[in-house]
Amino acid sequence: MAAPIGTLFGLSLRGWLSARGVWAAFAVALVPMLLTGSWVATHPADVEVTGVFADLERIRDGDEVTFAVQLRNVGGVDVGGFNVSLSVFHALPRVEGNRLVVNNETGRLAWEMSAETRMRPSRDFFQGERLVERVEGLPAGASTTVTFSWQAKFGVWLVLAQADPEDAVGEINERNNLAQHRPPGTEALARGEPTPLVVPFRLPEAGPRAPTGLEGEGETQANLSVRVEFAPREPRLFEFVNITATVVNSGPEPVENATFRLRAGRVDGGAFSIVPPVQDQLRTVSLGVGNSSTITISWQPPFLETYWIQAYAQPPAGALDPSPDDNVVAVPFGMLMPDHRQLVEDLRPLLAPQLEPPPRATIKAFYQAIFEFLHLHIILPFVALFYAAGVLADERERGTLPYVLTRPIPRWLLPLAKFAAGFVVAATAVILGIAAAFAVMFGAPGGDVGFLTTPLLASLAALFAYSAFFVLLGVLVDRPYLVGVAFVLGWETIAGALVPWVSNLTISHHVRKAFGGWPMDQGVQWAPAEGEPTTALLVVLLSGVAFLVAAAVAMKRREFPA
Amino acid sequence: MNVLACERLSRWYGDVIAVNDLTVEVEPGITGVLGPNGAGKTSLLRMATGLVRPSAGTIRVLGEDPWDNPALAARVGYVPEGDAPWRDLSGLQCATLAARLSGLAPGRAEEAAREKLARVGLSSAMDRRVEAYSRGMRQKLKFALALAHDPELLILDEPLLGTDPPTRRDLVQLIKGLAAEGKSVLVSTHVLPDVEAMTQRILLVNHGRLMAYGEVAKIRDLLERYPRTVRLATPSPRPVGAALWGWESVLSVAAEEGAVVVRTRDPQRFYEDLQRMLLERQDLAVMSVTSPDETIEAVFRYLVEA
Repeated sequence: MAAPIGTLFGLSLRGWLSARGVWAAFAVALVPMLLTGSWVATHPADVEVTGVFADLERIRDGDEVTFAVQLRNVGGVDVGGFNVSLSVFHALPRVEGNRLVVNNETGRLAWEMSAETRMRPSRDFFQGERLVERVEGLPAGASTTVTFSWQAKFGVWLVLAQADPEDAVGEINERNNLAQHRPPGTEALARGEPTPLVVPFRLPEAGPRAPTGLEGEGETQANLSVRVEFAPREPRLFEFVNITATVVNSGPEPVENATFRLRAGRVDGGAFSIVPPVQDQLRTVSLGVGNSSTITISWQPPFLETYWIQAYAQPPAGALDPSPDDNVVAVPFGMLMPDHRQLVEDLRPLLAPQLEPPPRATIKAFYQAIFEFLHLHIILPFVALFYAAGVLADERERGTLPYVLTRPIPRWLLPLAKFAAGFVVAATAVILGIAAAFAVMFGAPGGDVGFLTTPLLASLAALFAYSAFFVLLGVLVDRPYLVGVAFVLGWETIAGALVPWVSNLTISHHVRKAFGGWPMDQGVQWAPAEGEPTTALLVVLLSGVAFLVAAAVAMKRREFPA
Repeated sequence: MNVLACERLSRWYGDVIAVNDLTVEVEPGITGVLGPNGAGKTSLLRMATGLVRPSAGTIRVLGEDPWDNPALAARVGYVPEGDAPWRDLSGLQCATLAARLSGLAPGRAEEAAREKLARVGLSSAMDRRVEAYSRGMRQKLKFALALAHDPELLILDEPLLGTDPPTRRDLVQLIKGLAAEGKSVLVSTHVLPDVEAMTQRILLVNHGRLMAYGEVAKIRDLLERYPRTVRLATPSPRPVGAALWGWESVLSVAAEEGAVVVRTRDPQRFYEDLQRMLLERQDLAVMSVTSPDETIEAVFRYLVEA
């Protein structure tokens, strides 16, 4: 005779549906999520930073730059006062060997700190600035512009504007609160990629001191003149600069053994610095009338710095140059950063994580918090307790247990059938609650299917494990509801929060771990990059299976004396 | 094959012994499990249905261990104490459910349910909800549920309790009819006339112990014919024994250390004579008078008179 699994399941299902308080349990599972969803759906505030623009096209060191941050209320309701911040922080590049290195850790900290108003990072540490302006309310659909002044400094900067960094406005979407300044020519870059603002040096006015005695002394006329050419004119880091100095004899007589020198390097206090080593070529040249001589240097300046090129010619002994001013030329040049695109390529892996906005309390995050702490932590275990713990207690109370246990049914089947029925009913209540919340939120701006899939799957996984545990409890003890309440409040909630090792042994911990890795507004990804969520989900499901097996085994030994 | 075989069967719940070292083999047919309230009848039947396990010893029903034995459950029908189950269903739904739980296919289950409800006389009420049934109807419904899968053995725990005389008569007739069809019945009660209406074979239990098993008449006869033993605790067994010797009510006298054991066919008269003697003979001291045989007699008398 086949075991009447279907009948047992139907009987259990009927038992749950006709149980006292079933509608209250349904309401508990449904109403909080529905109310939360409704609240979220009716509060669609959303401020967007639509752009950050500078008033200068070519910004150089020392320029006074005005950044205009454009804001728009794209939500459905007016919003009150909020701040807007402009963070300008140094990407801190430096050259190591032939490579540009960005101090990523400092940059990351700077970014996090720039968003944390309670922290006042030291200027030594936070190499950048954070400017804050206030917007006194923005009606729905309205736009406004907030301006910030910044004195440009040499270097590579990231300029980020953020609306409402203190999270004064509960928004449905915080991801559009952030925008970065895009220097001209970089607009084609994909949104979200780091787009550095490169501020080159302002060329210095004070160069190397000119050598003395360039006019010479004697009777022979030597009219020398020097000119310098270099290319490229705005060299980029790692590029070679080709410098050519030319000396011409424009005098009426030939010149024998004139001194001709070309130097290039950093200048400090009017003299060439030895760091990096100065490029220096000195020659003695003899020039016929109208003849010229050149010195060429090909040099790779190593730092993001300004450099000077100096060339001069000195007549030989016994010769006089009547116009010595053109015997010396000094020209500065500043190194530019490498090409923007190349720079972005270099910076991308280092800076991309910094451009993610820090997690903030959106209204949807509020929904997520309600889901996680109220629904997942309290409601769900109690709904599971209601349906699963009474696996035998309710049958005993109704006096129907002997009628079931003395039928030709294997004992182990009873808790499993009860579990299946309880799970179906409880899952229906939970699914209805989440689906209803999603239904009212879906039409709202920022509605995302992740708000259906993630809570649903998290709830079903948790419900499975909790129900299985309470079925086991129902088989093992005579007062499962009392023990179950103690378990939910004492073990899962209080001990789990206070004692670290207990936390690892709670169902809620693993459920949070499984679905915390899959944020709601991104939906559930079934192939997460990290293995942890999948492992945690497996832990939840396998513990549920283990509880059920234990319940089936325990049922084989359980007696019912009265 | 014996329908029930117990070998040194015991069951205790904490410090309370419900069934104590019980050994018996019950033959097919109707057997009344008789004993006062708290005698251990229900515990014995619960072990027979596999609801509880023995604490010691063994129990076999139709030759099989009843614990977690679906194959045996298919051969046994059980009417537990208490009210009918699933009272929000109709009688037909209830009986069909019982048949389905017993593994009958849906169509066959309803057919069997109708048949069994007719058998217990509930055809006309089968569509009414059970909660609207009278006490007697609910008892009958419990029979229909137990019979749903046509079991070989019916185990009935106080099936006549609280029923009115017509229902009692119907159920007794039903049980006798089932026995006539070859089914065995184990029926517990604490009322001897109820059992005598169905069967002459009883299994008498008290304080968890088997007191007697067999035909009611034989037990009664045995109790009447069997000499009763009376034990007199005394510091001077010999003089007391000598004083009792030769009494008409006394069959034999034996002196033990600190006691005299007397066998009598007429305990009533013996006690009267003993009282008179002790008043007359101040030199003879009797500390206590006990009779190990009195328990069974008292139990039986109680059951008969109930």
